This record gives sequence, C-alpha cells and structure tokens, in this order.
Amino acid sequence: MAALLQVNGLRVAYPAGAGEVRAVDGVSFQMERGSVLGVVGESGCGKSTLACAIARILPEPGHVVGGEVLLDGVDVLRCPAGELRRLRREKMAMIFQDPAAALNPVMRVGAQLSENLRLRARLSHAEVRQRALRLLRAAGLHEPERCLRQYPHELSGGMRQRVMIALALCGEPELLIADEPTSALDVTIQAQILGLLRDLRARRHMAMLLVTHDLGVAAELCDEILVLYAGRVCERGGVEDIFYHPAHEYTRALLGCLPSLEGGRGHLAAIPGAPSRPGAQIKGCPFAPRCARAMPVCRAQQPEEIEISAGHLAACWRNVPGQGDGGRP
Amino acid sequence: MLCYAAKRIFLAIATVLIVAAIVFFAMHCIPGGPFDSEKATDPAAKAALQSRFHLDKSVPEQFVLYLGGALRGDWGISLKTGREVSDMVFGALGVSARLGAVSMLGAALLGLALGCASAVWHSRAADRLILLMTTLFVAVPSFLLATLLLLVFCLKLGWFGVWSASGTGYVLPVISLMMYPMAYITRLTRSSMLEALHQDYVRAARVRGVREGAVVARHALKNAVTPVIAYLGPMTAYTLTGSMVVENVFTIGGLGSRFVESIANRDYPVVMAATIVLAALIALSALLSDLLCRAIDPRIDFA
Amino acid sequence: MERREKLPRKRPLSLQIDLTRFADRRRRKSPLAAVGLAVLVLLVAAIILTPLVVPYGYAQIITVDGVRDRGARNLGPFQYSEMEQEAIARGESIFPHIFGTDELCRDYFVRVMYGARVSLLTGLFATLIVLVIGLFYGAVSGYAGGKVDLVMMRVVDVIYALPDTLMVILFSVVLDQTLGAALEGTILANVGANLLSMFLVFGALYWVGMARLVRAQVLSVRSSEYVLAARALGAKPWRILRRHILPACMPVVVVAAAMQIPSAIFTESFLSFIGLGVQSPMPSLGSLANAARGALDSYPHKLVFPAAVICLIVLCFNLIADGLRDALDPRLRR
Repeated sequence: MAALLQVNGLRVAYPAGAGEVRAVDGVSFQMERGSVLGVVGESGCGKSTLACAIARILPEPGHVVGGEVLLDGVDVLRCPAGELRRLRREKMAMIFQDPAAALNPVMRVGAQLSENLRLRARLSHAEVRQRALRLLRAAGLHEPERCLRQYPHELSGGMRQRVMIALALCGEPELLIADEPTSALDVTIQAQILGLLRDLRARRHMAMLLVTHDLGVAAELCDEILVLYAGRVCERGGVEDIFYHPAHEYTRALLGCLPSLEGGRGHLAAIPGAPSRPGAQIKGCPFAPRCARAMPVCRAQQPEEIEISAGHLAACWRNVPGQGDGGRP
Repeated sequence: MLCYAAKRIFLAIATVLIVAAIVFFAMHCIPGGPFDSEKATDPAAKAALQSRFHLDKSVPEQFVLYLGGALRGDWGISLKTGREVSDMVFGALGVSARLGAVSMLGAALLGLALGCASAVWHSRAADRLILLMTTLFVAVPSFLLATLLLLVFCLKLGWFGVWSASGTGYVLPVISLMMYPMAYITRLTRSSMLEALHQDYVRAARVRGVREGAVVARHALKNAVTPVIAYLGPMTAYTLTGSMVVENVFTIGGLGSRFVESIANRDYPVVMAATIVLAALIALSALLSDLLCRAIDPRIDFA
Repeated sequence: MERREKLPRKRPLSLQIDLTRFADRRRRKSPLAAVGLAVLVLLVAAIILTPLVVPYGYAQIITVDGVRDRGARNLGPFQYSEMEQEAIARGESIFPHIFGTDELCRDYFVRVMYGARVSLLTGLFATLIVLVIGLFYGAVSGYAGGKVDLVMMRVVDVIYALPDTLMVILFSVVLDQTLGAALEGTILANVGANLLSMFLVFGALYWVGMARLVRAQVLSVRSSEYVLAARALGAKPWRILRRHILPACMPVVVVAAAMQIPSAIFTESFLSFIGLGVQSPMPSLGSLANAARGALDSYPHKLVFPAAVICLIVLCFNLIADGLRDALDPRLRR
C-alpha cells in the first residue's frame, strides 16, 4: 500500500525586499499510516512553514515554489478547492501552537464543534450534541456539558488545547498535523496533552506529523525524526538513531544543549552564533558557519544525504569517506 | 450583563439630563429676556407675563419646571411662530427619522459588503478601486456633497425634482448623507477583516474544510464587526448633524432644517427642544451599540 | 571572554539596521502620504504668496483707477469687467480674477485663499488645544492611577457622551450673543466670536478622546519593565514621565492628532456653512460654499472652488494621517 503522506522536493519562499527567502528548501519525506514523524529544529528553521505548506494554509505572502504533497495519492497543493475541502474534511486535521488564537473567540465551543460535525454528516441536533460530548470526553475534558456552553476565553490553556484536539478528531482524520502542540502550555499540562496524543494514536491508528523544537517531546512521541536546519533536512532516522547515534554535527550540537540530570551545576550549553539569516545565499552546508568541526569543504559544497544505517540518513561531510576526519578534500 | 445594561442606561439618561441642563443654562446666559423687545409693555403686564412663564423664579427652579413640562409634552412656545414647540419638533422628527434611518442602514450594509469584498480581494484591482473611492468620499463633507448633487442632478441634468416627499425625492438626500459613513465603515471593516483573516482561528476553520464563504461570514466577519457596531453612535451623531444641512439644501422640512432655522431666528425654545431630542437620539444609539457589542463579543468584560 | 565582548556591540548595531530598513520600506510603501504632504505644502505656499502677489484684499471691492467698478460683479474665472477691459485697452495692466468675482465685486480667488487659511489655521489651532489638554490630562490620570484616575476618567466618560457637534452649535449661538459685545475693539474681534467659541468648545469637549488614548498608552508603558527598571534606579516620577512614558506615547498621539486636524476642519466648515463660522467679511470655505447656494444655477463655479479646496485639504490630511499611522503605529503595521 502506498504511503499516506508523501512530500517530494517541497520548496516554500517568502518575498523579502527584492528577492525571496527560501523558508523550506527541497524537503522530501514520506509517512506510513499510523506512524509518528517528528520535525525538530531551532525556531526559524522552517518547520512550522513546512507544516502549514502541507496543510495548504501558508500565511500570505508565503507561497510554494516547487515540489508536491501527496496525501493518499492526491496532490494537496494543486487539487481544486472542492477536492481540497474533501481532503481536509476526511483525511487530515491540524492543531496549532496557540490554542487561544486557533479557537474562534466569539463562538461557543459547542457551536464550533457542531459546525465542524455538520460539515461531515447530516446530523440532528441531538446527534450533534451526543457526538460533541463524546469527542470532548475523548479529548479528556471532565465536564463536557459545561464546556459546550463556554467561550474559549473562559477555558484554561490546557482545556483549550483539548478542545482543539476534539475539533481535530471530528472527521476521524488519518493524518494529524500538530504544530508545536505543547509549546504554549505549562509543563504539567504539556505532559497531559502528550499523554493524550499518544493515547489517541494508539487507539485510533492515526498518523501524526509532530512539529516541535522540544527534543524531549519528540523523543517521547515519535517513531521517526526529521532534523531541519535552514529549511533543509540535516538528518533523518528512527528515534534511537537520532538520539544515540547522531551523525550530523548540528544534531550533535542540539543534543549537547539538553541539560542532563546527572550533569550537576554546569553551564547550560548553547550553540554559538545565530541561525543564518534566512535570506542569505548559502553555498555549502548551512550549518557550517556555526559548526565547531567545520572543514573547508563544508563551506564550499552542499553535502548530500548519506545513508548511515538502514533508514538513518544525514547530510554531513563528516560522514563521507575520505572527507570525514581527514579534513582534506 | 443586566447589571451592566442598567448602569449603561443610567449613564445615557444622565447624559441627556446634562445636555438639557447645559442647554438650559446656556440659553439663560444670553442677554435679554423674551419680553424685553416688546415695545411699551407696561410693567404690570410684563410681570404677569413673566410669572406666567415662571421667569420670576430662579434659574434652577425654572430648569426643574422646564424638565417637568418637557416630560408632560409641554416644551413651551416658539418665539417666532407662536406655535407649540412640541408640535414643531415632533412633527418634523418623522421625516428626519426616515431619512436618517434609510441612509444609516444603507451606509452600514453597503459599507460592510464593500469592506469584506475589499479585504477578501486584498491588493487586487477591486480592493484598490474601493480604497480609492473610500479615500475620496471620506474627504467630502455631507453638506458639500448635497449641494454638489443638487447642482449636478437637479439643476444641470434635471433628473430629480427638488425635493418631493415621494420615493425618488429621498435618493439624493440619502446619498449625500450615507456616503461618508459608508466610506468610513468600509475602511473600518476592511482593516478589521484583514486582521481577522490572518488569525489562526480562520486558518484553523479553513483547514477543517469549512467553505470559504462560511469562513468569511461566520468566522472572520463576526470577529471583525465590533468596531463597526461601535461606530453606530458616532454615525448617528454624524447623520443627525449632517441632516441639518442636507435637509436645508434639499428644502426638506425635517428636524434638522428646523433646528438650523431656529438658530438663525434665535428661536431659543425650539433650539433647546431640538437639542435635547437630538442628544437623546444620539445617547440612545450609543447605548444600543454598546450593548450590541457586548452581546456579540463575549471577551469584553462588563466592568 | 571573547563572546562577552562581542555581544553588546553587535546587538544595538543590528537593531539599528533593522529599524532603518523598516523605515525605508515604509516610506516607499506610502507614496500617497508624500503626495498629500506635497499638495499641502503647495497649498500653504499659495496661501502665503497670495496676498503678496495678488493686488486685491479679501474684503476689497474692485476699483479701476480709484473708481468703483460696478460691472465687476459675478465675473467668471479670468473674466474682465467692461471698465477693466477699457483700462487694459489703455495699456494698464490689470491682475486677472483667477476664480472670478463675487456678488459684491470682490476677487473670489483671494477670498477662497483666505478661506483656506482660516480652515487650516482652525484645524491646526484646535488640534493644538486638544493635544495639550489631552496629553496633560491623560498622562496625569494614567500615571497617578487609583482614585485620582477613577475620578478623572468619570469626568471623561461624561464629556465623551455629550454630542459634540450639537454642543459646538449651541455654544456658538450663545457665545456669539454674549461674547460679541465684550470682544468689540479688541484683537480678538478679528477672529470673531464664533471662531473663538469653537476653540473654546474644542478645548472643553474634544480633548477627551486624546486623553483616553494617552491614558491607555501611559498605563501600558507604566507597567513595562524598562520603566520599572528606571524606577528601581531611583528616577523621579516627573523624569520617568518625561523621559520614558511620553516618548513612548508619541506615535499614537501624533497619529491621533493628525486625524484630529481634518475633523476640526470639517467642523469649522460645517459651522460656517450654517452661518455660525467666522465673522464676515472674513471669508471661510464653508461660508463661501453657503453663499454660493443662492445663485447655484447661474454661478456654479462659486460652489465648486471652495468645495474643491475643502475636499483637497481634508484629503491631504487624511492621506498624511494614514501614512503616519502605517509608519508609526506598530499595532496597525501589516
């Protein structure tokens, strides 16, 4: 059976000044049904843009310059409006970073749920209410009846995200795109929402594209991970590969920043420098300017993705035989 | 909500009372009583007249008596025509109310529609055209527009007769009254719609597969409409003052033109009554728009 | 060590670059505001130059060789009366009546220009009054907070609810009667009781919007961290208000003031139109337009000229205000 989601050479650009900024620069990957893929990277690396492009809700003036996004074999980026609506109703759902902004502030929770349910099936009033309550319960809300009557601003942050999840579940989606679903929440609520997402995934066999800057969140939830830097894929592989055998200098540096429990009272590590300005034309590896182990070739030529082990790829000159530790081309 | 409404109604009544007081005392500052000009009035007759109209009492007492009379429908007698002020004011109110209501409704509906269209077609030709049109109309005061329309369509082209109480007679006055508020509402709607259309909740609705029409109307517009409703009060004030001149230009015998006439004639009882009625109308619409805003947008607190 | 040295130097620099880039982009993006400003400058230049170039006064009845020219009534644009034509034939030079003349044989161009001067001055002066009162009241109310703020804002609420144009009309009527006599013979008589009463009413009523705006801004800035830091360092309240809070309010205040100007001009021309504006023979655009209504059919140009000038002035100020708002008000930046 074909993959659920297939992204081929996706490129997204924002106009900036006279030219354009490539926020996503040739990203390809695929996802199987029921799998969880994490997209990690620093802020500004293009991970949210990637998620929005896949859902075709890029904020203006961003636009897709190339590539395709196949959801169940249908190109999301080029299908007509009616087909796109059908795809969105039946196959995919999305939850956002800030649930306070993603819920309509002037509609009651019940109205938003019922609008969403009625889009998918002709339902009587009682049926809508029944289903809405079931969804809210499935999203872990304890007082669903009360919640239906409330406006988003009357809910707590965690409850809002649960409502968002309930809304996402309306169409029994096969793919859930979660754009930083826990970043705006308290740590304790974060853990609850993560638990809920894991639970839903196990019960509904729903594929999930999880965008996050939090490696801990990615480690907890994902099967596979995609490390993004400056709109390009640095490294991809299973969770074990990425966390225990990182093969890209950037991934290593990222992991080096994680505070460890045993580490005691040392300094928090940081990657020196700032992510390269998105407009800058990069010739070599985008991470080279900040990389502690950069070689001349890193600045000169863009590295290709090389298979480290089965399903584990990295785009780093260090892994190329003859380039690696020799340090000479 | 109820508590807030009560508070707000109280404020509206207080406003009208304050206006009435200001009007009353201001009018009493004008030198010369109403019976001073009459030639050869003997002192006894003058005193009789003064006590008939309570002019022998102190000003605050007179104010209370005036208010009491006003509540009973006795607004005094016009100095110029000798007719009952209440007849003059309320008789003229009907025409003005119809004119004002039609133009306000037209301004609101057209303005909302154009504003939405402009925001949805952001920076396309239609948007630029609408923007240009509103920029121009926001710069034209209603009294000039009225006079220019009269000049072009009645005098030069002869398309309309100069005011007849039939339907077509309303066209030009309504246009001259509604253009400015319409342009203003269009701009308000456009900017708040543009903001709403970029919000996450609109994108979230789209990604759920909601139709574009419903996204605009149900999700974006309902959020964007509050500034327009908040403009309802100022729009009423604008329409009422605008209609003073527009009615004058088109020689419609409404409250507005009566107000201006009575100012020119220094017919103080009529000025007072008309001011109080107009102030009450403005206070009422401000009250309505406030309550409506709160009914639509639950985030506004009821403090 | 190396890193610590680098950071403080780098940050302000990059901030500066970003700011100038931002401003550049803005300026390029609102050419309309520049057009508005340019037209306004031209208009002001014309207003200043008119009395120097055109040999007619705004109240001067046209004479030829010291003889009153009765034929110079209601001339069209660039028309000459018979007496003037004779004079030209004799070789004298007569300055053309660019907009024609009015029914009292006065040069209409000069009158329109003087009317524009009255409109502009009224707009600017009224806005200045509003600005000063609003800024002071709002800043004090916002900074004082607590009960003082509560009482001050109740006053604002009440005044805000009053219908302003009605009040202006009323005060104009009353003050015209009461002030008129008192002003006789003073400099202010030139301004006229009506205009003076309008300024009084602006001073008394229109500042509340500005005061609310300033107060809201002060409240938001007051609780910001840099003001907290300044207070922690022991800065005095007045210094904090002057150095930190008022500068932060400036963008909003400038935008609001720019929007106040056209509305003041609107009000002035409206009042003049209904006969409550400046004292004749001083012209105002509103009163000129009103006078033109008498013979609208025969001399439509007498309506069109003042009307066009009012619209032009208001349009220019609107464009400038929009441009300023786009450039200065970060909340409305898009």
